[in-house]
Amino acid sequence: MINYNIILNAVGQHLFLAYSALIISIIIAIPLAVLSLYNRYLASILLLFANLIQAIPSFAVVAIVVPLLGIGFKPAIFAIILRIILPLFKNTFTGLRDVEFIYLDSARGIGLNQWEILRYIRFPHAFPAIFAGIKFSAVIANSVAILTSLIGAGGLGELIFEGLTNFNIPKVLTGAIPAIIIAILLDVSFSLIEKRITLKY
Amino acid sequence: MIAQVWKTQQLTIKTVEHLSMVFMALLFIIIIGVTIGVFLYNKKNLSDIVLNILNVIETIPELVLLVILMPFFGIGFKPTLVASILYSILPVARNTYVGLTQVDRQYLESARAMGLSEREILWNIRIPLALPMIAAGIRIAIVFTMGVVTLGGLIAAGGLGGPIQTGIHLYDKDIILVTGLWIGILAVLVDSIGSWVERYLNRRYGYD
Amino acid sequence: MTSSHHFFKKIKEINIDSVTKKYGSITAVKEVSLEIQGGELLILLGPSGCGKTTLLRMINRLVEIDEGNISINGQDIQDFNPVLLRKNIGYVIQQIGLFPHMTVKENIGLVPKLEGWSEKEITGKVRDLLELVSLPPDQFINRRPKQLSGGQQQRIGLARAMVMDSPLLLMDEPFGALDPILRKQLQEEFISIKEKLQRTIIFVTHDIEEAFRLGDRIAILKDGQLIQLATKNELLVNPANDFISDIVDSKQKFRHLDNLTVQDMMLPLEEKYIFRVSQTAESAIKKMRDAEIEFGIVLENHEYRGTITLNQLYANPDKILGKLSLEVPLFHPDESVAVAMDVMKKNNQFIGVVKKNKPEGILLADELLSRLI
Repeated sequence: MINYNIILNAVGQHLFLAYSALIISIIIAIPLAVLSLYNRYLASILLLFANLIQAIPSFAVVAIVVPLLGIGFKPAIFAIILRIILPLFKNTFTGLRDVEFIYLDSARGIGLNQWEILRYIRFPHAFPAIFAGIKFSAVIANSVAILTSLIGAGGLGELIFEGLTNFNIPKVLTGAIPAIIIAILLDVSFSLIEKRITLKY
Repeated sequence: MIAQVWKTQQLTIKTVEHLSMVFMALLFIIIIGVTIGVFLYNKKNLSDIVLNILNVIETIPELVLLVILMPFFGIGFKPTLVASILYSILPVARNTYVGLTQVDRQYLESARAMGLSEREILWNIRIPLALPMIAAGIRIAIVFTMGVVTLGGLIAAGGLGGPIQTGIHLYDKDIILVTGLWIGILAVLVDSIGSWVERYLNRRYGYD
Repeated sequence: MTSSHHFFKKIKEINIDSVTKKYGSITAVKEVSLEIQGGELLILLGPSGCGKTTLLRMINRLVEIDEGNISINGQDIQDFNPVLLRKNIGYVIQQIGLFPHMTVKENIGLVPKLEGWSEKEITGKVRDLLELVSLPPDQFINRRPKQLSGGQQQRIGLARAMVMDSPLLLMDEPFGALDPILRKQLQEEFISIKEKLQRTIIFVTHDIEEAFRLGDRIAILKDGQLIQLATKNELLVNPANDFISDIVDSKQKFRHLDNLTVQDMMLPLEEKYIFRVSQTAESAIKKMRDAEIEFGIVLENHEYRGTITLNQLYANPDKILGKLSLEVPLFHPDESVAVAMDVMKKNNQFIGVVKKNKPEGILLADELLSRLI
């Protein structure tokens, strides 16, 4: 009754969806954060949006993408990115920005330029915050990826929804259980890495 | 366009349903969350375990949580409520616990030296000073709850999630846009109220 | 209004008997024995880490004794419930610890409220205490700690410690975190309060000057042990060992006394202490509050006119400074310190202004020195 192929397929789609979104978001968010360090205007706008948009339910975000981009894989990735890019940005930005004045002052004092300060002082300092942001976003990406099956992106959510419509509980579980396992694995592995990183810094 | 969608999807009723669910869930969340927080404060050795368990619940995708509760609570309103509560307890409990334990030592020392019992210290010093943090936790819980209740629409709980699902099924852009944007506005409004309360408490009971 | 837990109306004596406290391998207090007489102000003096604070906190059982015992009026403090014991003992710390979420009245009145006093009783008592510590009640009763300067907060801390009329007061470096002139001002105020109250006070400090100014007897501690317990004069004349005589510096000061000029000992005149005759009391109050000081010198075109204190300003909020300034002894920088101290002693002043043509500095009475003259 349980077709492992289908499940594996779904898991694959799910992971691909979530992680491509995550990687794209990281690639965009970090440069944005760096830019915002030097442009107050950009920083305040982005921070404002970050706080506002976080309050909006994921479901609504996923739905709104449809009139704009249609259904399917691409809109789904877009929806996930929308959801996670701002927390990533915020964490990276505050991590880079909130270095204690003493360190910046001595760095400037010994003659480092802005780029070197960025690379050798700010980024190392920001590492824990950036990592926390990535962990947070990975969890959310995982969640939203399930929802996106509603708009035709496949994945584990699809199994769940099909099961729901047919009142087929076992089918629902075939989608739900892997999702839970992935979530727990995510959390555990990220926490382990987090511990090692915070020990280092 | 907006007016039409509003009427056909009965958004007024749905909004009321939605907000009532959120409100009811919040009542439970605050009571249970703060109680757990205080309980952990009293039994600090349990704090790690309990907070970890709650943390794990957090990482589970909301939809999955909702769906898993269905065998126990059926569909509709009940599982939505329970899912909201389970999901949102962590921020409230954790913030309550941290707020109570991390009071500046000089205040605790003064209070002890004045002859206040541990109980009097809890009620007169720790709890008031922890209020801003607890409020911050509740604010996060509100955002979570709004999200779960929206999802509840998928399993016939009523509220604004229903119209969105309809919109997607019918591939009707108007419905999706109007309802989606409305949920967004509502969410931001509710959060702003939360942020206002948090700022007020910070001024009244905060340290700075 | 009376607390049901008034343990002792008046302290006859406090007996500290061979008390020891260890933290792991470190002995913070080692077999210290002292007898504190009722009504006296005993100073616990010593360098950082000598155990004076630990010893103090054993008296109200914030720290529990490992060996030995402490008894008040013959009763072992272990016999009392610690929480009730502390309601009978006033306690003031350096960081003050006023609760930020309560007004001045709520801070001072917290214990009375928990004891069931009526609103009227509490308000009355708070007002009396505010007057005692020179803070006009109407202005301060509803303020919050963040609206107060350090000196004002510390006064409230003292008021709070006295609200239950406890016969015993424990004070742990209460003036440590304040501007030097302000510290002297508070010490002076404290001396007059002390006289009015007639309590037993145990006061911890590392500042010898403060010890000599305030204490009846001084107990000097080092490395957890009591080195000498004596009155000020005895310490000067009969130091128990080199450590003590170094602290008291009697030989040093004697030697240099003839050579020391006022200029050697004065505090330079900082911008924050300077005010103009035409300034209003209100603006001066604000300036003092921001600078965390309570004293100022009034100038008219760089010419010295007089001095003012914050208490005066509160009493006359509408006047301009020209009308308020007080006279203090004036000294020339080249005058001998011995003479200056003598003048201050005779006039019962603790502050003087040093000027040649224009004001250059502030001279604070040095208690130790005055005793040697």
